[in-house]
Amino acid sequence: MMGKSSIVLLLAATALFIVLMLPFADSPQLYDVQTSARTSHHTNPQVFGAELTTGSDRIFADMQSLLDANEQIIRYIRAGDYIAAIHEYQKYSGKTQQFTTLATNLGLAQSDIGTFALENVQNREVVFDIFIGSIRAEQLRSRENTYEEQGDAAQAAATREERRRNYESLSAKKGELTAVYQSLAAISAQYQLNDESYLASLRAYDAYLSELYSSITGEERGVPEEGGPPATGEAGGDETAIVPVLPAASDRVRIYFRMSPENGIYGDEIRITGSLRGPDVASRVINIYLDNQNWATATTTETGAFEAVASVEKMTAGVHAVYCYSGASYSNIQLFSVAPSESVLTLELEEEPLSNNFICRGTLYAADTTPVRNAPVELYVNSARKALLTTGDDGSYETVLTLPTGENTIQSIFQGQFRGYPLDASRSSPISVATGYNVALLQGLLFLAGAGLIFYVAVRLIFPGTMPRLRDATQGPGSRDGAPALLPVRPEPAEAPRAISPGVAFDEFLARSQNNDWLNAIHVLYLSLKETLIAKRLVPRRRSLTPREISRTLQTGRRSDIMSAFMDAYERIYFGRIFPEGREQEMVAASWQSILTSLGDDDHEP
Amino acid sequence: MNRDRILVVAIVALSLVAIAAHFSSSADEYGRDNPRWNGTSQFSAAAERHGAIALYEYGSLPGRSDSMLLIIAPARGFAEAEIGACSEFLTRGNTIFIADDGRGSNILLEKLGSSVRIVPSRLRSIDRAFSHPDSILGYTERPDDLVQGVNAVVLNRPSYVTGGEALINTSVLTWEEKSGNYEVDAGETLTNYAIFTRETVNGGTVYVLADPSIFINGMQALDVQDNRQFIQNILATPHQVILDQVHCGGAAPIGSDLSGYLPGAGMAIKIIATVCSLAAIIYLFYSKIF
Repeated sequence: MMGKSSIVLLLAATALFIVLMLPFADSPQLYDVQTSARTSHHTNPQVFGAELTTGSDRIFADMQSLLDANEQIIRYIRAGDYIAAIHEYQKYSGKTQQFTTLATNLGLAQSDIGTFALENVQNREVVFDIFIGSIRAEQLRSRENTYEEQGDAAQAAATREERRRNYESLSAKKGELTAVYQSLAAISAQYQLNDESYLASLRAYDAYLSELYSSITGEERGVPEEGGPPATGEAGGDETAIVPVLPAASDRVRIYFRMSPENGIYGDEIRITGSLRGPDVASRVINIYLDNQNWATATTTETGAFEAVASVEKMTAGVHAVYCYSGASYSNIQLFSVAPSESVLTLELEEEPLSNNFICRGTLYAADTTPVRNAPVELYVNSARKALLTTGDDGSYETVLTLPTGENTIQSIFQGQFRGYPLDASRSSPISVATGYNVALLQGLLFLAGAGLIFYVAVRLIFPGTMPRLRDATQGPGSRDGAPALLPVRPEPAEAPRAISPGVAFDEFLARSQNNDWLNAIHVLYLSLKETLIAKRLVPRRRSLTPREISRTLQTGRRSDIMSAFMDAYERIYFGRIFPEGREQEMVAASWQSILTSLGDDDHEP
Repeated sequence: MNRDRILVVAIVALSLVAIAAHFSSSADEYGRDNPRWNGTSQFSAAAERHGAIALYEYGSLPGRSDSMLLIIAPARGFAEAEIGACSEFLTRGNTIFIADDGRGSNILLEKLGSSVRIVPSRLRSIDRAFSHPDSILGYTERPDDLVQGVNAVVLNRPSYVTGGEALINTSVLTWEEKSGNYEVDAGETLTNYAIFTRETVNGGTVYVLADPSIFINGMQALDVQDNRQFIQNILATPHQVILDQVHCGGAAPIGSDLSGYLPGAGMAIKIIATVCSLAAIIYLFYSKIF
C-alpha cells in the first residue's frame, strides 16, 4: 500500500515540476525580471530602461529649424553665392532626412507631424529646383553676354528666349512654395511654431525673381498677386542689405573641368578631367565636390591638368551640383543627374543548434550585379524592426537574431531613396519559421534531467541510509545467537574452485577443510551440487542462480530436509563465516552425500 | 516521533509552504502591506509618519472637517451609505482625492455630483521619461497647492480624465493607442490628455488622478522629474490625510509570486520548492518511513 501511494506522490511531484518548468521551457530565460514586471495597471519601473532625451521639445525645435531653413538658402541664391547656397541646402537636406526618420521611428508618420515631414520634403525639392534653376539662369546670362560681345545677335536672342523660359519655370516655383507654406503654416500654428522666417524667404524669393526679370527684360516686374506672400517692396530694407558673397575668383588661377558622362546610375564611374590655368599650377590638390560633399580628389600635373574617377554611390536621385576648388580658387558649377535604379535584396536563415538563434545573412545588389556597400538594411521580425545592419564592401550583411517562440516571419528591407540612395526600395522574400518550442522544450527536458540527477546525487549523499539495502543480518541465514552477520563479502580464495565431479569435489573438500580453508571447501561442494542439479535439469543454468533457489528444487520429503541442512550449513559458512567445528564437519559432508545419493548419482563415491 | 520522521515532516512542510506561496496571490496590488514593487507600503509608511490615519469604516467619516480622504485604486464599489458619507464629507469643505485608472470610481463621482470621469485607456506619448512606452510624462497645467514646485511627473500606464480643471496634462504629442502598434494611426489623434483634475463639488474639493501607479513602491524609487515633490505635496497638505482602507485590495497581479520578496530569485524559489518536494518524496519512497 505504501509503495503505491509513494509512486503516486512521486508522479504528482514530477507532474508539478514539469508544470512549473514548462513556461521556462517555452521561454528559457530563467531569471527574466519580466516574469513579474507587469500587471494590468502598471509596469515595474525597474524595466523602464534608459532615460529618453527625445521628446516634443526636440521635435518642435527640429520643426522650427526646418521652417527657418529656406530663408538663408534663398538669400544666398539671390546673392549669387551658389557655393554657400549648396552648403546651406545640404545642411537643410540632412535635417530633413533626420526629421523624417525621427517622425517615422516615433510612430508619427500618419499624424500632423508626419504631414509636416512630408510637406517639408516637398519644400526641399522645390528649393532644390530653385537652386538648379538659378544656376541655369546665371549660366544663360553669361552665355548671352558672350554672344553679345561676339556680335552674334541671333544666338543672343535665342539665349534670351531660353532665359525667359527658365524665368517662367522659376516663377512657377513661387506658387509651389506658397502651397507648401500654407500646409506648413496650418500645422505650425497648431504647435505654436514661428513661420516668420519662412515668410521672409518668400519675400526674398520674390525679390530675386524681380531682379531676374529685370535683368532679362530691362523692366521692373509687377507686384505679386493679391493674397499671396508679400511682394518685394514689403520685404523692406532687409533685402537690399544683402551683400553678394560670390566666391572670390582668383586673378591668378582659374579651374575648368568637365564630366563624362553627365548622368549615371548607382555603381557608374564618372571621369572628371580639367585643368588649372595660371601661374604655379603644378602638383596642386583639386577637391571635387558633389553638392557639399567631397566626391573625389585629384592632383594636377606639371601643366595643370588633372583627372579623377568618381563613383555614383550614396547620393539622392536627381540633379546635383558638382564643382572643384583648390585653395581659394573655385571652378564653374556643372550639373550631374543621377537616375534611380532597381535594387535586389536577398535573405537566408540558418538555425543555430539547440537555440532560438538564427543567422540571418543576405546581399544587396544594384541592378542585380553591383554590390551596394555601406548601405543600411533593416531586419523585421513579425513586422517589427529588430536590427539595423550595414552591408559590407561585397554587399553582404549578416547578424544573429534570437527569435521569439512560435511562428515568425523574417524579412529584410532596404529603404532605397528614403535612405539617400539612388536606388528603389527593395524587400527580401519573407521567410517563415516556427521557433522556440521544440528547442526550448528540449532545453527544459535537459534541465529536468539535470535536476533529476541532482536529486539522485543529493539523496545519495545526504541520506545514504535511505537507499535500498539488505535486511538486517540477524533475520537471515548465517546469523547465530542473534548476533548480526557480516555483510556479504565475496571470498577471495588463493585458488578459485571450479565446478568438478562429486568424487573429486569431496576429496578437495577434505583437503581444504583440513587446511581450514572452509570458505572454498564448502564452496566446492556447493558448486558440485549445483552442476549435478543443472545436469539433471532440476535447475536452470544461469549466473544469478542463488542457494535459496537451489534449496527450493527439492521441496518434499526427506530430500527437502537434507537439502535444507546442507544449504543452511553452506550459507552459514560461506556468507556468515561461521566455520564448523568437530562433528559439524562430518555432518556437512554427510548432508551433501545424502543429497547426491537421493539424486541417484552413480559417480558418487563415499 | 523519531528524528527521521521529524526531518521528513519538516521538508514536506517547507515544500508545501513554498509551493502554496508560489501559487497564491497574497501580494495585493496597491496593498499598503505589500512591500513589492506594486504595493504601496512605502507611501503608506510615509503617510503615517506625516500623521495620516487609516479609514476602515465610512461610518466614521461624517463630522470630520479640514481633512482629505485619499482613495487609491478602489477595488470594490461604493455602497449608498458610503457615498452619502462622502457627500456629507464634502459639504464640510473637505477634500476627496481619488487616484484610479479604471471605471470603479466613476459611479462615486457621478453620485457626488462631479462632472469628472475617468476614461480607462492606453495612452502613448512622444514625451516619455524612459524608453518604455508606459513611462509617459505629465506636465503641470495650472497652479494648485498639490502641484506646487512640480513641473513634470512620470506616469505609469495612465488613463485620462475628462471634466474639471486640468492640473496636469500630457504633452500635445500624446495619443490614445487603439491599434496596439505604438504608432499614430487613423483615428488616433495627437492631443493633450488631462491626468489630474480638480473640481469643486458640494462645497468641497474633488481631485482625480488617472494614475494611481504614482503611489506604488516601484515609482517611489524613481529619482527623475518631480514625482517626489508631488507625493510630498499630498502628504504635507495642511489637512488631515485619511487613507481609505475599505476599498483597497486591488486586482490580482499577473505573475504574483515570491519574487517580490527576493527580487530576481523567483525562479530559484520555484526550483528549490520543487527540489524539496521531490527530495521529500524520494526519501519517503526509499525509507518506507510510514
